[in-house]
Amino acid sequence: MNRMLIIGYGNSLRADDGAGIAAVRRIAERYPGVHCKMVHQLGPELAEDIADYKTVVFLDASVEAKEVTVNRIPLPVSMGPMHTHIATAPGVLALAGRLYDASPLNAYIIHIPASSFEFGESCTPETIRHIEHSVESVGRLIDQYAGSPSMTKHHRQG
Amino acid sequence: MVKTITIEPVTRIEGHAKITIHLDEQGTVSDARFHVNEFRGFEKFCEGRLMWEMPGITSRICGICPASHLIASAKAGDEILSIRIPETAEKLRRLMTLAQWTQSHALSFFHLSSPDFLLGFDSDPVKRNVFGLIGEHKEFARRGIRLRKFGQEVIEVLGGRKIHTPWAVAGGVREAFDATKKEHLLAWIPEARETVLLALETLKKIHERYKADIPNFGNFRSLFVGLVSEDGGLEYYDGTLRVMDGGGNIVADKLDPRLYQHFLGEQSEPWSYLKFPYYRPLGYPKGMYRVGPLARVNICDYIETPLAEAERKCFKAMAGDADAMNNSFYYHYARLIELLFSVEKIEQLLHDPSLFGSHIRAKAMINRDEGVGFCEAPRGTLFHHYWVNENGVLQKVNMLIATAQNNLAMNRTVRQIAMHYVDGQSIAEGMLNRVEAGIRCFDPCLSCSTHALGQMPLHLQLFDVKGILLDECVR
Repeated sequence: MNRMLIIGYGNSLRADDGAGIAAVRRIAERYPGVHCKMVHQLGPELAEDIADYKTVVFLDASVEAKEVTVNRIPLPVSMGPMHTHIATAPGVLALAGRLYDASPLNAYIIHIPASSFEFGESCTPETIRHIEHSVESVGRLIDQYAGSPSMTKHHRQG
Repeated sequence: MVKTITIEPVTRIEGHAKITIHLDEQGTVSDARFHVNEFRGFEKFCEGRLMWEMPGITSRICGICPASHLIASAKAGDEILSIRIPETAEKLRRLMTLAQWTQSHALSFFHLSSPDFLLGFDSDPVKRNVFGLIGEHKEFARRGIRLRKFGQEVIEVLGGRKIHTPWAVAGGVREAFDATKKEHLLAWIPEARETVLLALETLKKIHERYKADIPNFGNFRSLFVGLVSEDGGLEYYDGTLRVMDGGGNIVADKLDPRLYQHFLGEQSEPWSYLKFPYYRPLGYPKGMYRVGPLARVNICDYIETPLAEAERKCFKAMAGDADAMNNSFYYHYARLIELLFSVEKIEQLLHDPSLFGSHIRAKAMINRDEGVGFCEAPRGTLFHHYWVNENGVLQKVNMLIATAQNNLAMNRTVRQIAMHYVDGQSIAEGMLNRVEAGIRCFDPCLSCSTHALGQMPLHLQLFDVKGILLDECVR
């Protein structure tokens, strides 16, 4: 079982909507040993990937967040509605539990404040600043989990 | 009292739509319509962009079949450059197209349609989805998800990411195949093949289970249109167009897809954003035709891989004397035959040494002011038609999308199902679901076909003779 997976998602052609992708791109450069995934949208296929990790961190753009927020997702997650176009981080975690009887020990979702969703491949200056903060937040989680000796035990449900 | 029932949104399809069912004075169905109520206008906002950018832009039309738009767009670029691309590039594009078929067909069957079949048309709609399927048929669902993942893996290996890869370009492709990934992809083949065979076995049981329903699921004669290879085989990347009628007679053959506007017209209706293409020689709406798996398996003379060819023969035998399968329910069967073909052909291509060449892109200046790119997308024949100036700046764009080409047939299917199941006295959820399931046979992608935003709920409305809304159901 691997230690940590970072997943950034969003539409990189819709300005700030791609904040999660931009953040994970920076994380991959700064922490080359950490496994990263950048996806346009969350889908059922991710369940198999995350089932193999002890800690999973999701990064997404948010219109509601005013500052970068780091929220722990309580585990295990029960199954809720999910769509091939609109899947949620808890939904994918629940799916991992149901399909593979496996779940990470820790899961977090980091929301990056976003304001512009117009066509464009660049984030707004304000969101770029928040992206940097989100990378720092992930750095702290990497320090906490990716190097911890306690993370060597596997966790399997059921 | 005349009434209209509206189903909105239509669920488990890609995009937004609603269905209205119109009843007469006796409460029997007089008409039914499939309305597509989303719009994005890609054709318009692509004007003024450089032709070179188009594969990257148009692949964003859809999150399900971006690779098909990528390929059609790159091929339109090839035409404008007036060049023939290197053999390796063509093989790689073919591999990408098959990977697209694999992931999209797996999504259609396992995620979107099998909940109806395995949980039942009348089962609890809250659970009648892929997650309900996981609860009842965990291994089947898990296999379906992994099969789709296989298709996505091939796309990711080729293009660097699962969706919206900018990999194909006018003149070829950007990146050669990473030969170190060959064994990784080949390792998927046995499981993928086993999963498709399991799906076929399951579908045949479904045919038995629903033999009373199937004759009412869009069972009518129409034309069938699609690409075939030079000698009439199943084609997915190139070839020429063949038109077959509902009796299995070839009406037209070896038509140049670049001249599609000569024989395929497009009509608009005020109640839908989705155009209504038709076969020009028969006029509108008599020139109704179907594209996609049902059409492709109907029109081809053979399939080049052994397991898929054996299934094609079974499929044709079921068609009986007509020599063409006219029932839309059998889109599912044709889709699984194509899925089997895709897995077999991907394996063949991965063993083809020419896939690993380094000459992957031909370069040229703008040599034509017009180009048509085409391929078989999962849902049917896809055309990208670009007009450019001497600098390659787009002056005009036309895209003829597979789902739109099935529009007349989808409407006919909805009407037939509604006439059979709707009594006008009450709206039974299971009845509505059968109407939706008729649409799902075609696996429509409304995001593509209207070039529009996509998430897919469903709305059903009931109107009286004066057009007054009497009842509605929204999910």
